[in-house]
Parts: sequence; C-alpha cells; structure tokens
Amino acid sequence: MYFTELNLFTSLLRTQAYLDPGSGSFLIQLLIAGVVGAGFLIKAYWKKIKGLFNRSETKEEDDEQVQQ
Amino acid sequence: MTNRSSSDLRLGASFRDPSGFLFTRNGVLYRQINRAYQEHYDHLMSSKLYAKLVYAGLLIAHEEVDLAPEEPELSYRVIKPEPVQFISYPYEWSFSQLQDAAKATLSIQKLALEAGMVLKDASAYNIQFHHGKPVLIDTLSFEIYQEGDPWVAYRQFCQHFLAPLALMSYRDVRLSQLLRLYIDGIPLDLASKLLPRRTRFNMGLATHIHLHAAAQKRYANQVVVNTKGTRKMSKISFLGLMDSLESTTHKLTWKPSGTEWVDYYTASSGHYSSTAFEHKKKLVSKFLELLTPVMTWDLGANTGEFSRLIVEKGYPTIAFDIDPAAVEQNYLLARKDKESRMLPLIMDFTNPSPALGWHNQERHSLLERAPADLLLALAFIHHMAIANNVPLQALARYLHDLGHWLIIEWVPKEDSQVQKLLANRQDIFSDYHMEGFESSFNKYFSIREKSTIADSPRVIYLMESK
Repeated sequence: MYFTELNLFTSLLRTQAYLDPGSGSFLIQLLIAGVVGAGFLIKAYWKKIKGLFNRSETKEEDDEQVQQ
Repeated sequence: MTNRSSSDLRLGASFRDPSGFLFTRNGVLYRQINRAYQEHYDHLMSSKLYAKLVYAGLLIAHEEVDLAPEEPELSYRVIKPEPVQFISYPYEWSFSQLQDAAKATLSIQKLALEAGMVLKDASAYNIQFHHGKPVLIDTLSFEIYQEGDPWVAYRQFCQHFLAPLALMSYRDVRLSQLLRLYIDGIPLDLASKLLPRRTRFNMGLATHIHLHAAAQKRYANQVVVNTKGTRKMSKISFLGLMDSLESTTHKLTWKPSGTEWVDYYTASSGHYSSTAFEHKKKLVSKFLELLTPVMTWDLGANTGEFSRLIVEKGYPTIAFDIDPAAVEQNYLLARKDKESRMLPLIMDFTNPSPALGWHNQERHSLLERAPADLLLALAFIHHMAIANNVPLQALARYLHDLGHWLIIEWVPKEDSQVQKLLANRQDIFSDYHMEGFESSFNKYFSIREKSTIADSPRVIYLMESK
C-alpha cells in the first residue's frame, strides 16, 4: 500500500483537539476499526451465547435473544 | 522565585490548551474556562457526567465561583477545583500506580462515551493521586463526541501509559525513568525498539506499540487532506478500541522480587533485632506526640513501616524510596487496605526530581514541592554520607530546605550496615561520628530530643529547623 495523500474525515469547525494526533495514529485506528469493532461485538454477545448454553432448565430458547 | 506580573500567575504547565488554564490568586488555585470551551463544559455538567465521575472518585470536584477572570476577553466561567495535597509525576510512580492511572483514564473514557463525550487528551500528567487513588484533575479534558472521529488522544495514551508499562513489564522496571526525559511520553519507535521480540506476538502490544510506531514513521510527512465521509470510525469500533487498550493494559504485570530492600525487615535478615525495632517504633511515636504535622515526608521509607506509624495518627505522609520494588509493595498494601493518607513514591535523594518542561516550569522539582512539616530520616543518613559521600553539613543544609521538623536516626560506624558499606572501600570518613553529626546539624537545626535505641548503637533525634 502506498499513499501519497491520506484522506481522513475531520471537521475544521468544531475541533477542540489541540494535540497533534499524528497521521499515523489516525490511520492505525481506521485500519483496526473493523477488527476491534468485531471483537467488541463478539465479546459482548459471547456472554449472552454462553448464558444460553449454561442454562439447565428445559425452557425453550428465546429466539429474540439469539437474533439480537 | 522571581517577581511575576499578573499574566505570569498562570501555572507553568497550563498553556497548551485553548479551552482554559489554571491560575492562582491570593494563594488559591482556580481554573478559567474560556468561551471556546463553553458548549463542552455545559454538556459535561448537564449530562451528569461530572456528577457520575466525581461520585466514582475518578474526577476532581470543583465549585463554580464568582471571581474576576484572569483573562476576561476569553473567559466564560471561573471554577475552583479541589486542591490536591501533593503533586506527583509519572516518573515517580511505581508500576501499579502507573497502571492504575492508565486504568482510571480508560474507565473515565468509557463513562464519558456513555454521556456522549470523549477525552481529548490522555496525558499521565492529567492524573494525580488524591486520597491514595488516581483521579483526573483536568476538568476541561472532555469534549463532545462526534461519531465517526477516531480517538484524538490515542497516541498520547500509548506513549504516556502503554509504552512505559510494557517496558517496565517486559524489560526493566527502571525504564519508567524515560518519562523524565520524554515529557510527552515515550516515543513509540523507541519503545518498539527496546521491547523484546516476543511482544510482537501479543496482539495488543503488536498493534498499539509496534504497528502504531511503524504507521507513525510511515506517514510522518504525509499530507492529511480534509474531505468528508471517506473513512469513519463507528462508535462500536471506538468502544472496541477502548476494550482492546483496556485488556492490553490490564494484562501487563510486574512482580517485584529479588531486590535488596524487600527483605530488609524480615527477622531472618538480622539487620535489626526485634527489640531494637520495637523500641525505635516507640521512640518515633513518642516524638510524634509533640507534633501535629500537616504533611510528612518519610525519606527512604522502604515498604512504609514507619510511614504507617504517622498515618495511623491521621497525618498524611509521602513514603519516598529509591527502590521501585519497595514502593510497589507499599502501594499494593496501601491499596488493599484502602489507605487514603499515604502516598508511596520513587525518589533518589542524591538525584531528586528536577524541574522539567517548557521554561523548566511545567513539572516542579522536588524542592519546589517542599517544605514538609515533618521529615523522617530513619536508616537514611549512612546512605547519603557513606554510600554517596555527601558531607554531613551538606546533608543538614538539604534537609533544612526539605522540612521544618526532623526525626533522624544517627547510624554510627560500628553499626553492621555501615560496616557493610565500608567493607570494600577506604574509610575516608574521618568526620563521620556523633559529635561531627551533632555539630553539622546544629548549624541548621535545634536538637529537641535525643534517645538511644535499645539493643543497637543507633540514636534517634528530634530536631527543629532554625
């Protein structure tokens, strides 16, 4: 991958950020955004999925819960 | 201190942020909030984020005051933050103190996001230990979250917290001292070079340190063009990033072991007979009854055995020691006991923290944070005078600058510890004897009390600055 320019979305008007975040630091976040986002969702729902398997009652599985 | 005009009452470190700044007036600390920051401050308060964070002990409380601002043209409001008793810096913290500060920063960010706000900086200097716990002191660090924006403080978090913690954990605990050199955190390319290869197999460190460093280098001179809507970072991704940083931070560990001081007090080491030890404790307590120190500094506190004598009487104490393992053990114990009156810190008194930053005024030297009301210099003098060749008079002069009252233990040459120090060197210390000690110190202090420690050649003094 070779970029001559990096296009990032920033808003000029409301930037309060006085720090220099660094192009590299911005880029990394966008690169990993998909991975960490997916990881977060899996983690959040893993507990729910585990919870379903741990139940010892013979209750039917709640379809809505799974589909969430 | 030189004379200052009114514009110089702005605090030395409080200049980079256009949102506002700290200033003192008549000895009281205030923060001016500029109009540029108005909507963010109002949101912080109205969204109840402020209340939530203060209640959780994560943010310093403040009150809004009716005070003439320092720079009226810019000012929206003036607030008076609760003062922190003792300002300390990340290069003075042990591993777990820095880690707890990092965890607090991330907890604050997570709570902030629930209220639609983000931290615009993640500097370790925004955290102070207040009543024993890490709190955010920069009330103006919050800004309204715009979904789509990456975390602007990500680089700073990695440099101020993740890099030093990783270096302490994987290489050497002493590498936190690099923070003294690099006032905006450890550069990631340096951290990446210093960390062992196996850290590249740690997902978190590989991403947030190694890959991050590579990206910084790669795109250092690239033009960033502002266009709309090309790449965004969703809120879920933002939360994922926080989660990743949190688990990476949490997983780092450091076990203090094998350093010379940790076993100092155990009976088997034979440095102190238990009679001598108990008597020393009694004498310190007895001297303490004559005083009411607002702030005590224990010099060479080790794991805080004697600091705790002071603290148990209700007097706040800073427990300084040169050994990161001792400070760590002390902090872990204090944290477990929820001890709010003691702060353990790393300090080498032959090379104490200097003034750092812009104009040498952003981070105060130890001397600038002095004097304390009471100094404890127990099992201390021989490390200065013998191990480090500090003349007794120079030591007296320094201690005089550091505190008003002094409880000091005279450790004579016959003592086993001094014998150990002299074992492999020439004894050039012809002036190191009790008479020499007393006459040197009499130049700066008045001796109020003097007691010999039972079953020991050592003598404890109570002195008051002249």
